[in-house]
Amino acid sequence: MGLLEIFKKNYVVMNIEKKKTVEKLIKFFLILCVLDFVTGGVYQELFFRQKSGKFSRATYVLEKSHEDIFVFGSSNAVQHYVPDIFNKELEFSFYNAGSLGQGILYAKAVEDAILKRHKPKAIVLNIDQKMLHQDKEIFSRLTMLRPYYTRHQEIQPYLELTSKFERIKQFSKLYAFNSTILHVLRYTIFPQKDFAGYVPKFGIVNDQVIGRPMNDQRWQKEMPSLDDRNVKALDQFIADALKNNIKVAVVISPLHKEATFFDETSMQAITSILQKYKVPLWDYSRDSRFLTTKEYFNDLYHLNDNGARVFSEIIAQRLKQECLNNNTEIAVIN
Amino acid sequence: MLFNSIQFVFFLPVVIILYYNLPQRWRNIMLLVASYYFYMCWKPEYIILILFSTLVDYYVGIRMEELREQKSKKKYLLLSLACNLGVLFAFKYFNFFNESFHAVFNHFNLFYDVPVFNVLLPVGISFYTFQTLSYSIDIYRGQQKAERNFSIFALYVSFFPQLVAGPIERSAHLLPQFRHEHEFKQENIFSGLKQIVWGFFKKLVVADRVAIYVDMVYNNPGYHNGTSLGVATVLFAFQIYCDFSGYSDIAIGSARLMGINLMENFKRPYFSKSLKEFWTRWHISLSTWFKDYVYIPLGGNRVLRWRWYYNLLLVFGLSGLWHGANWTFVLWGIWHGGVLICSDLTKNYRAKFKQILNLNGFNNFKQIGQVAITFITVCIGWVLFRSNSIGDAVIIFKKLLSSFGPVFLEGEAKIHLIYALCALSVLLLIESKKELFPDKSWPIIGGNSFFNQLSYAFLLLFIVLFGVVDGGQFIYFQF
Repeated sequence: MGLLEIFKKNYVVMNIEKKKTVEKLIKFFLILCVLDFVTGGVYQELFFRQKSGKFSRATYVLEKSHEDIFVFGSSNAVQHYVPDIFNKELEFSFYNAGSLGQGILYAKAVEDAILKRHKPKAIVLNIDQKMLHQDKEIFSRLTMLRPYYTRHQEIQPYLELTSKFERIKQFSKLYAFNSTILHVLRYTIFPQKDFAGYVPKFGIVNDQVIGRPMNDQRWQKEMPSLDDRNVKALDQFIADALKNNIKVAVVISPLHKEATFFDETSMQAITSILQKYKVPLWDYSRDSRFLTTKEYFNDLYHLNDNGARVFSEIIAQRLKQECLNNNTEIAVIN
Repeated sequence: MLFNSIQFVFFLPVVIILYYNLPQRWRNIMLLVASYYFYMCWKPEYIILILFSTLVDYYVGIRMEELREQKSKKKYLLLSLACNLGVLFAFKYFNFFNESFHAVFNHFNLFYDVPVFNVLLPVGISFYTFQTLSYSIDIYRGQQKAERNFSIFALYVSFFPQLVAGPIERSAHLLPQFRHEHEFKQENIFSGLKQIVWGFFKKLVVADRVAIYVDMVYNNPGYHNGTSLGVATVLFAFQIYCDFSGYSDIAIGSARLMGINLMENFKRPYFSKSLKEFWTRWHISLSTWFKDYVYIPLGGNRVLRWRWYYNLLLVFGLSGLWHGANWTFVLWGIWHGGVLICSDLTKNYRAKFKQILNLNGFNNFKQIGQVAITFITVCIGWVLFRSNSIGDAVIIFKKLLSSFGPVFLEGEAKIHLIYALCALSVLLLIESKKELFPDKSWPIIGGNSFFNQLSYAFLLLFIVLFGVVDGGQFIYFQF
């Protein structure tokens, strides 16, 4: 047998093996796609049927909410604003659209989704002094919006900040629900009472926790710098609200002890944006009614239900007097 | 480029398709270009370091082969050692030693003002430096012929699957594989893909999930009790194993797709019954490197007893330093060396103790006990390895012995811990089966090709649903 013949024979054999491999791989890929589509579809049904929990609240805010007043922010928003009190004091409907651990980018994404179908009367944005600093965690937490990526075009740019390949990844139906299964199971099996987005805390801060320093160790180690995306989002958040004739109040929640911040650049940027749009900043971080009042706090940074009710009364009164009074002038963006 | 990135999902198939459709003479060139691209995705300018190392060792290898006298060869070997270790020292260890000297001088109120070398650690520098060094040393010893084809040698230094985190290959094993034409084999494709999927499971579902809890606890040891620190330490043992062996699995699987066999780097180390056995199962490519190029040249155990102990401490100390420029790593190495010495010193007493207890009829219990003791010994070492500083390690050890209480489950910690435990259960089930019943196949899945495919499809979906898909890089990249 000549060399050429051996080569030809090997070539043909190799091609058959290649063909078989490609066929098997395609078959496997199809099985994978079908499984992804079926399990993803079933899971999606389960996901959007949740009646309580953070995803249920997010789904409501993004897709069904129609309230007059919304509060945005992180855990301080979720745990400090009691909708019942606002409903009673203001005679307007109120929903707490805050979400644990989220920053201004999440608030902006949700604001965009709400504004697309509904114009509220007022928005309260609960902030903290470090909100505009760079924080990788904020981007990883934004992935909470993944299940809504294909349902809401307006949130896509924000989610794409977490990964430039988000659009490709979303080809998988299951991917959108990554790391949500325990949450879904928990709130499907044991649904909890919903308080229009408010999540009350009932504990009282203990003396051991009170003894801890207020200063955030992490910020002490790393010199923070401003994140332009956060700055732009805050600016746009306020501009878009004002453009839609929505009254805006920006609030800093009470703290149990006075905190020291090593870098003021975030606060300076916040102040300058608020001044630009003539939006009030209501700073309660040094309010004597709350400072060192242990009975109002669940930990050093978060009010318990008692504290939240007192705080909500204060904010509701102030909203009534300074924002929702018909005589109040508001800045309008053209 | 990270293995756990979407870029890699596109990069690898393109490389494989090109590889099998190019004639042999172009394959290595294509792999070299792909490897350089793979590395340059991270920080393009650092490719210069790889090129430098490649050029030096290519030249040194040929020159050493041409020379007959061992004395002349030695000059070239020293040149290779100086260049490779010099670069490694400058980029990885300069600041560490500089800061250590600064602390010592400060202690004695002496002036010391050498500025810090402000530079980012090149990814994988310890891996490719050791790989090229082994080539030069083998040629010096006459165990290896110099590679005269530059593209093959350059590929040996930079082959992308194992470039940044090993396995650290030997020239005698890898170089011939680049010269050989690899035919397309279905078996390689499927076994390679299976190993890659398993690697992704280890990395994304176990390591990255466990890391979230471990970081919460270890980054703030002062705030946590001994129970939480203990749980975090055990979890870290699995995190580092799954992170690193997951990388190795993806590397070995990727290379196998091209018909290239890389050495096995991990053999289920937590089933070891002694620390000595652990080091034959953990990071095998590094431990054999240290054995062949440091431990044996020092005399190994064929010297006076005190000298042998010194050799052990030195080799393990160096192995610790290889892992990172921090005293915590050095202490980790010394801990392992120290335990091996203690185990030798107490060998006779332990044998007598076993005789007294007469455990002959309880072999299974004895083995379980040995595995548990070895695991605890390794975990003590992991405390040093994971701690951010020696101060933190001291706090952790103190708390582990004295401060007990409920496990840390605040906020998201609980959710991540439950995910981690679910993932660990799957891992332990599969690893136990591989260790205890290696020849038995899984019921249903094992015997049927369709069910086998289905099981891997489900494993992939499990990764998509449970994995930390936006997690960080591999721990061993920093070494």
